[in-house]
Amino acid sequence: MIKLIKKVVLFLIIIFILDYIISEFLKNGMRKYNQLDKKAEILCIGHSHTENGIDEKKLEKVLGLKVAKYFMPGANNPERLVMLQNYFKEQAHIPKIIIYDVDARTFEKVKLSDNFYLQFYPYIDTFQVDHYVSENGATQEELFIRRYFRLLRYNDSLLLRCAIKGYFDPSVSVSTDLIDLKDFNVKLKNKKYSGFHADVNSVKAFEEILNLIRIRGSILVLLFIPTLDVYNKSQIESQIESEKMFRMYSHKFRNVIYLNYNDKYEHNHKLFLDAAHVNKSGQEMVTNDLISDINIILKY
Amino acid sequence: MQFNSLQYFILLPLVYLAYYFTADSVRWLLLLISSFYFYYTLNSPLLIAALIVVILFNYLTAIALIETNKESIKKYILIIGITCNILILLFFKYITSVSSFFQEYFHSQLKNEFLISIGVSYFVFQAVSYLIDVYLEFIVPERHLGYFALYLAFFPKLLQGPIERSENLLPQLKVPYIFNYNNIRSGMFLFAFGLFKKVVIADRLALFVNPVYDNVHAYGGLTIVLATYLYAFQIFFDFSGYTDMALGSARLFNITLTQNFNSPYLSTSIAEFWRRWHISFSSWILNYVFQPLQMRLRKLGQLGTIIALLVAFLVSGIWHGASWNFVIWGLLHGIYLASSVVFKPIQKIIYKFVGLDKSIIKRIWQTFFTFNLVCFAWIFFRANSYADSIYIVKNLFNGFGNISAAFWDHKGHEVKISLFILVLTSIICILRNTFKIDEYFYCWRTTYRWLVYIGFILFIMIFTINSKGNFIYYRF
Repeated sequence: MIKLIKKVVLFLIIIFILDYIISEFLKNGMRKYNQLDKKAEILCIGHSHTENGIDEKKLEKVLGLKVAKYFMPGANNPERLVMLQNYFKEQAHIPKIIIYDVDARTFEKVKLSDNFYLQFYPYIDTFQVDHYVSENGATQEELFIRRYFRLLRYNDSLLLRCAIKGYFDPSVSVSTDLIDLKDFNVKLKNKKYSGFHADVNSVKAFEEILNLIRIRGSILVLLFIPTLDVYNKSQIESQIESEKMFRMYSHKFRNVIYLNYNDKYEHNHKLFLDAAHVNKSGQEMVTNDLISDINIILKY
Repeated sequence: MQFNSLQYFILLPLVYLAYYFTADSVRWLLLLISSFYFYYTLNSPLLIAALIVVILFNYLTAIALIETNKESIKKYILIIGITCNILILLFFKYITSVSSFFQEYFHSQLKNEFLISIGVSYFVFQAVSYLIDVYLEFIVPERHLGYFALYLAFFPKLLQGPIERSENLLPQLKVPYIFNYNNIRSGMFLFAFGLFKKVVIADRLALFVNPVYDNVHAYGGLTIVLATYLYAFQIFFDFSGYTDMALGSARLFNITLTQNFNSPYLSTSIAEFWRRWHISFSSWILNYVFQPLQMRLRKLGQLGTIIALLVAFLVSGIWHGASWNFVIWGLLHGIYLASSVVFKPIQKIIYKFVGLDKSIIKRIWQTFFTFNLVCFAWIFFRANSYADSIYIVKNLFNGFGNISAAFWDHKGHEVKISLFILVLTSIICILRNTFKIDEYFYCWRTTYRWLVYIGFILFIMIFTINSKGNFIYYRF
């Protein structure tokens, strides 16, 4: 029996050690994938609009500055606050410019999938991330196990893939497909728009983000990456009201700049993969304009 | 608590350690307390009450059976005993309907703790088999209330079986415990393998099956066919995974529970399938429903056998749940078996005529055909409603049915990982059952065996699916 206990204890020690080593390897991969390891001068933070809309490699090449792109599909203000807090914990270097993608739904309550919080598991060593996960779906038991058995943080196959991809080429390739407008119009007819309702928590999170960036002395660029005109028209109230808010913040805070690429490109349907996301051509347009604008910002 | 929970990972070794250091005379008490605590964690006082009632009632009924000399009175005692057990079972099976009744007529709902019936089907069936065996004098009734209570409540098999016969389990509970390193080692490995089947494979397959079956009208044709095949594997790995964990847990205490699965999808006939699938349940149905009925109806010859089969599988369907889908599922299997009674002789003639009588092609064909018959029946088992199951059956051959949305879009990598793990594990399961490779494995050098154990645990940790889903057979 004593021999058994010794073996079990030894086995558990080996598991804990290997668990730590492999999870650190995967976490490092995640950091590389999310570009948290870069001492970036320009940080692009957002959701799938950032993922599709900004070519960070081209920005880096033309501007001659390090650019990090940290996105999480579906992430809105509350999630991005956590992402930013995590970024500042992982990376001591403060970016000069933070590009934050915005759209008509930025201040609304967006329903995320039940297991959205899984994407944050690799970073639960950060207090704010741990808090977010515990408040947004994780049971106490689930979170407790993952605090101590670190490999369990990578249960999601997408996370695992991203962690390994981080060691190779973390860049995202954007599709060259075009939107099927006919199909989209049919889907749009079945959707009901319920008007603009600013969510208190979302606005509060956004203002905390503003504060977080302001005290670090960075410039915040609110970038409206184009979405399809038909889609924008279907939620015109949200479009107008959210734009009012973006302009209000940019007037109120000296370090906040609002760039609206939507008006310029929303009618050019060849630039869209679907109603909310640009394709490769759209990415090129957005990135070229962004390069010009950043050059101006850096000058002044 | 479930087997794949942190609570159980802590409880099991603690119970084992306490068991090891406890005197033989009171070990049963420790296991009994642990079993009740295990059941208590379901947070349903009604279930605990049901378990206590079933234990006491059947203990006293069995003693009454043996104390009575008159055959007619014995028979009445047995009938009353079985009826009361079945009534308890039916009450729990239909309790959600009772809740609706309360809601409608008394404008108040039964609390959640009254709405669950986990484990009741299993220990009630065990109690019924015990009473019948006592009546038929196959066994003598257990006089020690503690051992009898433990026989019904033993926690590794409490929630989802196996449905243990008293002649198998009761004697084992009384044997003085002698530390057996091989049992500990193989028990832990079996538990880990069961955990792997559940959290890595079954829960992973559910990612593909659930979106299709929970929204059948968005799909059709090949998509539904593939989802059904995947469900066949999901339910197998889910249930056999649980069974492995139960058997592994029991083995720590030197208790051998009944094997519940034996590569069922390699069966060449439905009859063989039921000798390999949920073995403890199917043998219960065979011994206590089918055989007595067949005996009763023997004067009807083949027709009597057919009627007995249909009734036995109707009971089987109803045991699984109070829904038309389960009844149809059970009846389908009954019809399959009844048909084989009639057509088997004709099949033999045909195979002999075409020269396939002893060929491997015949075996492959039979295995393929049996698997598809079983999968067709699974449609009714899995579908969320009768209407859904009819839709599925009507649309089985209706094109590709949105297959990329179901299995490929945003899931392409998951498909590849899942298929790889599924195929690898299926091969391992077949090798374990057919060639008993476990014994060969334990002859390996310690270093190599430890590398396998460590790799296996790390694999489970990385590839486990973060699911809050219960075991499938939990709800029966």
